[in-house]
This record gives sequence, structure tokens and C-alpha cells, in this order.
Amino acid sequence: MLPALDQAPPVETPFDDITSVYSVYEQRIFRFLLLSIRDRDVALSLTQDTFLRAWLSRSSFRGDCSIYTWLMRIAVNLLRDHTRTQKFRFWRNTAATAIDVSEIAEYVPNSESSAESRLITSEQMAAIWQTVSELSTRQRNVFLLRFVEELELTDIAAVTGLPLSTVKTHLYRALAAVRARHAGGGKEAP
Amino acid sequence: MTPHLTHEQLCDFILDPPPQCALSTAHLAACPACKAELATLSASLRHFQEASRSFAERELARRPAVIELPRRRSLMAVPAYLAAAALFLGAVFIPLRLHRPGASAPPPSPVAAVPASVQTTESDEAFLNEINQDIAASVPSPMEPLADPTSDAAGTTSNQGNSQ
Repeated sequence: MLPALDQAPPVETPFDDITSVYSVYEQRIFRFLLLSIRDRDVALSLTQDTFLRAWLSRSSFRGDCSIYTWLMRIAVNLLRDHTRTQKFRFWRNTAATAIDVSEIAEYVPNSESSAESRLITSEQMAAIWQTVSELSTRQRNVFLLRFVEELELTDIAAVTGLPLSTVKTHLYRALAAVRARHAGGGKEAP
Repeated sequence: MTPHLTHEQLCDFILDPPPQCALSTAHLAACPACKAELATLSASLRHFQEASRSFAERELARRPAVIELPRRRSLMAVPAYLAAAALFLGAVFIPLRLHRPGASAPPPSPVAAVPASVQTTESDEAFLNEINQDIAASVPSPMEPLADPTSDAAGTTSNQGNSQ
């Protein structure tokens, strides 16, 4: 029996080879999720979910944006769904795998010459880390996408589904909190 | 002297690198305070980025092995599964065969079984006969007059007197 002529052949997408996509983008997706949610186990789980959902919905990928933008959009949606749950709110402060400020401070680059300069840099790093943790989820995501993932503002708008002006506003407020923490000697944000 | 850059103007230098408006650029070149503020903020953000990336890279390296994507099973895994299945079946069915009812216990001896049933039947029949006799009797046995206990003693005395 001949196949129907009007039946469209399956469209090939980059996500058909999910292993290659995973190996290329896993680290960036995990990094964003880890820094946003600050729990290694949850970040690993959400990373897996991101690629699973990307593969399941690969037929809807039309190439309007880059693979990374599409993956990051899925990750942001998963992150939003996860942080909305009551279970997450309950365990947020008691998670055994939660990241402490002192952990991240160990990774401050030691390019400064003097010990005093390194100490100042470490304090500034801790201040930013603490400030970012106190931002709202949306502000934190926008901040991380810009200053860690180095996405353009238009790409951040595409990932988050926010208008460009709103993205800018979130960044202004996040940077204002960082500057206020700097001005206050790293003690408190406004 | 022009006033310092606003927060938005300062942030625009970080978010959207030049070209910026000429007025802001000129002020930044002439104002050490705004220049220092911009340099400090940029350096802090750069350190945050570097530290965050290093930290995430280390955390990803520490992930458990089960998180990795499933790979094709090697051929060596098949005999291992078969051996495990054989061990499981052996562990389940061998004890069942060993402990099957009637297999381990010795067969009952017919010689011992038959007398037991015969004795039971005989005792039952004797008991029923006794009941029938009790029912058929005109006077129930508990109401029958007691035997004279002195009859034996009188007989014995008369015998003694005759002998004397």
C-alpha cells in the first residue's frame, strides 16, 4: 500500500540528537539553575528535566531562536514551577545540599597582588552573592542571565518572556541592591 | 561642574557598553568618583562571574554517576543478568521442592493406621450399646435399689456357725 502523499515527513530538529545537545549545553544550564536555586541536587534534577522536556517537545522547535535560548526558556519555566511549590518553600532553608556563602567565596580569583586586595575582593564577592540571594526570583534570573551567562538583553527578554524595558528595570534594581550593599560595607541591602 | 551620573546612566555603561551618550562619556572621563564607582562595580561583577562559573564547574564534576545519560548496555551485562535470574529461581524453587508436603515425611504405615480406626469404631459401638441398654431398662440404673451390704456378712456368719 502506498503512503499518503499529503502526509508531511517528520521535521528534523537539532534535539533529535539529544546526546550531542546535552553534552554541549549541560554545563551552562546546570550553572544557571545552580546559581539561581542554590541547591546542587535540585539543580541536577532540573537540568535533567530541562533536556527531557526539550526532547519531548522537540517538534515545536522551529528555529526562531537559538538552541541555548530555547533550552534556557525551558529551564526558567521549570525553575518557576519548582519555586512555586510549598514543598520548596518549606525545605529551602533546611536543604542539606544548599550552598553557603563561604563555599562560593573560595572561588574568588586570586589575581590580586596583596592579601588586603584579595580580602576586599572576597568581601565584595560575598556581598554580591548575598545580595543576589535576596533578590526576587525574577530579578535573580535576569541578573544571572546577564552577568553570568552574558546573554544580550533581547535574549533575556526572549528567555523570560518579559518586555525589554522590564528586563532593564529588573537589572537596574538588582544593580542598585548590589551598589547599596557595597556602600554599606556589605552589611545590608536597602 | 556637571552632576554625577545617575544610577541608570551608570548601569547603562555596564549593560550596554559604548557607544553611550556623549555627555555621560565625557562626564565619566572627567569625574574620578563616577569612574571609580563604575570600575568597582564592574570588577565586582566580573569576580562574581568568574567565581560562579568555577564553582558551578566543580559542582557539576561532583555529580553522582547515576545522573549520566543511559548508555548502551555492554554484552557482559547480559550473562550477569542471566546468572542473577538463575540464582533467584534456584533460591525460590529448590526450597519449595525440598519442603513439599508428603515429600519429606515418611509414608504412613497401614498396619498402624488400621488398628487405630478399628479400635475407635469398637469403642463407639460399645458406647452406643451401653446407651441403648440404659434407655431400654425399665428403671434407670442410677435409680435402682442399692445392693444390701449386709448380705455378704450374714452369709459369712451362718457359714461360720455351721462349721462350729
